[in-house]
Amino acid sequence: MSDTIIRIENLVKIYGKNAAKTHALKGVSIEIPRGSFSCVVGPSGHGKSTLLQLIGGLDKPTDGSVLICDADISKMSDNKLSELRAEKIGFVFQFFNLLHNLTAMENIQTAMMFGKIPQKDHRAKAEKLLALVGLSDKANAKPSELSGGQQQRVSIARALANDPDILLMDEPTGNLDSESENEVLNHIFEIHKSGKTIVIVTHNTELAHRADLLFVIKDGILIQKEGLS
Amino acid sequence: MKKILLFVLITLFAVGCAKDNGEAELHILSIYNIQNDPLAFTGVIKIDGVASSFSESDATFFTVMDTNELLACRNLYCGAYAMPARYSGSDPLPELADMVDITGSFVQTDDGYYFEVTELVVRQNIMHRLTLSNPGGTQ
Amino acid sequence: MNIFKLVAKNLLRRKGRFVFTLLGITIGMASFVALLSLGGSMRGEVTRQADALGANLIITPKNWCAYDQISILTGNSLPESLQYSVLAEVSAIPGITAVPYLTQTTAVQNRPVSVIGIYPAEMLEFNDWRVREGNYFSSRDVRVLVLGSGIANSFNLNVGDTLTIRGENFPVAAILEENGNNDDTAMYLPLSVVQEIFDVGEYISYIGAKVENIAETESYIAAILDVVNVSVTTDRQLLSTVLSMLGSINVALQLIAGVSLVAAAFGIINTMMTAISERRREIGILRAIGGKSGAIFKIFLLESGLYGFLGGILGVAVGYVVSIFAGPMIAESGMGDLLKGAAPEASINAPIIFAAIFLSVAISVLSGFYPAWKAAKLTPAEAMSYE
Repeated sequence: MSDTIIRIENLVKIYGKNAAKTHALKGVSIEIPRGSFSCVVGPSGHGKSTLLQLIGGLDKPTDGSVLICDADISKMSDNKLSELRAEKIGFVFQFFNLLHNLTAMENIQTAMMFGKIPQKDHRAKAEKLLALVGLSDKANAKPSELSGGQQQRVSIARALANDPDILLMDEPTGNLDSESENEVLNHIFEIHKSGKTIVIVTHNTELAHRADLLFVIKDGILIQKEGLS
Repeated sequence: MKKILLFVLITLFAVGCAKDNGEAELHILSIYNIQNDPLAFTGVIKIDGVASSFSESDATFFTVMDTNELLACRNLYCGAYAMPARYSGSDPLPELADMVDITGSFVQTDDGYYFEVTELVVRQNIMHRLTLSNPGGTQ
Repeated sequence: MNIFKLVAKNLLRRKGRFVFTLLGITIGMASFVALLSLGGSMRGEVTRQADALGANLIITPKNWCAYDQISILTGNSLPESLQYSVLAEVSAIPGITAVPYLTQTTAVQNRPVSVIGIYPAEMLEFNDWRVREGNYFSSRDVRVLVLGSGIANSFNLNVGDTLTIRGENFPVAAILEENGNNDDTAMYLPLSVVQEIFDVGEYISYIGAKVENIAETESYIAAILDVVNVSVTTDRQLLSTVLSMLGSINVALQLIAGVSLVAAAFGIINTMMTAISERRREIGILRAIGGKSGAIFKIFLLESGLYGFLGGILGVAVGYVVSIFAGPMIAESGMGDLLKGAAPEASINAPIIFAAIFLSVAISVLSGFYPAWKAAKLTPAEAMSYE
């Protein structure tokens, strides 16, 4: 097993057909070592989110390959991809994307339902994760009863539900005020310390400077790479 | 949830009341029911039928035939039983082949009986559903 | 958290929508169940009544229509147009026992009641009557009344009471034991008395006849038709006439129930399709956190199945209640003539309940199929790209 947990080779993604074609990614190659903290930056709408979605198997590339732990996920069946997302990858989105009719606790447990965690352990583990993000007292709150920052922290707890190796975050603080932003970032740093591989798409320059690896995407291509060699 | 339950309960209650109200009214008899032994019906009763002919000498007298019988033989002059009735109230008399609901009681006379109508309700006319309706016409 | 909890929470999030969709299925199933329940018991009732008629053959004037034939079953008064002499000719045929019926109507407490003119001794044996109380007719022309048990009970009449028929007073001499058929809902007088007081001369309404050997029925009918110009029906024929009428009514009603079920099914499809377009983002989230497309499919299918299950149970309950109320209402209507004396009972049994719930779930699951499949097909990115 190599040190590279995520390997992307010549990734191409084209949306639409004929005249309405959009080349979101035009051949991107990236290697991300296990346990690293990477940031993907660049102008809006130039392919950063697309890149993250393809890494996480939320969409399929038009060409090229994505290897997670040396397995080519671009050739995986839909079911295998779902398993991958359940067990190896946790997602955090800019707009939180919590299930509105469930409580914080239930949101986390739903993720556990799709992973291989036995139902009898759901409650205990969920409580632990809520404690990790400092929201033990909000276990039974619905998203509508939580602030933006709190929702994002629940979202992070959910992403950690099945103890994944990789955390992918798409502008996790993009929708938060600066105070909540700092809170969330601190949690992310804590989680990185526990050995998870983190890839964040962000506009936050401070975050970008603290990353081990920095990737700059413009017009669908990787124009700059900084950090660990 | 509570509101819905309340709505359902009220509906059921209303239906129950409506059902009770129906039974409080007079049971409607047909001409068929009374024709064999009219004087066995005492007091006030309610009958439905079809106005089948009118007296030339007394404008308050008319006859009533059984609705189903008339619809079956489709002719006012098919010889079926026609009950004599009298109405001297203020409402207009029925026309030929009008369906009527009449409330009243039987009155015995020297040579028979008639039905004295106290309340007359005229419903739809069924002349269009009858074929021959002219007396003395060839058939 | 498990898939059932998730489904239950999903269904209840929009309480109004949940209730109205559920109502749609409940009404569809309720009408279906009510019709099954009543229809079944009406059939049973008619069959029972015909079976209990007590005659293998009914002899009527020629050219009576089906409505008149039904009147025999209901005991309504019939045109008296069979010549009395026919009775003698039919009785003369070996192997046939025949009794006359002359049916008229009078009133008791302003309700129409049948009065039937009979040969007392012969009828007692022909119909296997038992006397509950009082003294049965002592001769063929004694001027007393014998009541069917239903009449006595409905009008609270006892032996010794007097009823006025055609202006003459008749004492009640006896009350019969319950027969479980239309014999219970009539009053009886000797034939000659009825002919006299109703002024019908030498006519009767129809003749009931029993044959010695049921297997030879056809030849008995032929023998009768040889000597008199009448119509002969077997009780099987009468039954099938009525049953086919009931049958077509039943079919019509079941079609209506079927239509409401189809409407309910479309209601579910509509609800589920709306839910899916509203919950697209949610579907994307579920996929993003590891839900397989199979799981999504299962979730939506379970939701529609649950509508069917709950709607089925509610529908059975409501349908049963409706049939309890509807039974007496049917008895009041024209249809009720067929079942005089016994309102159709709401008859629900385990097979009907299971059939209804199974049907309800099946319809709901089928309705949910297309929406569920559509939901599962979306890639996570596609689903989440909807605002």
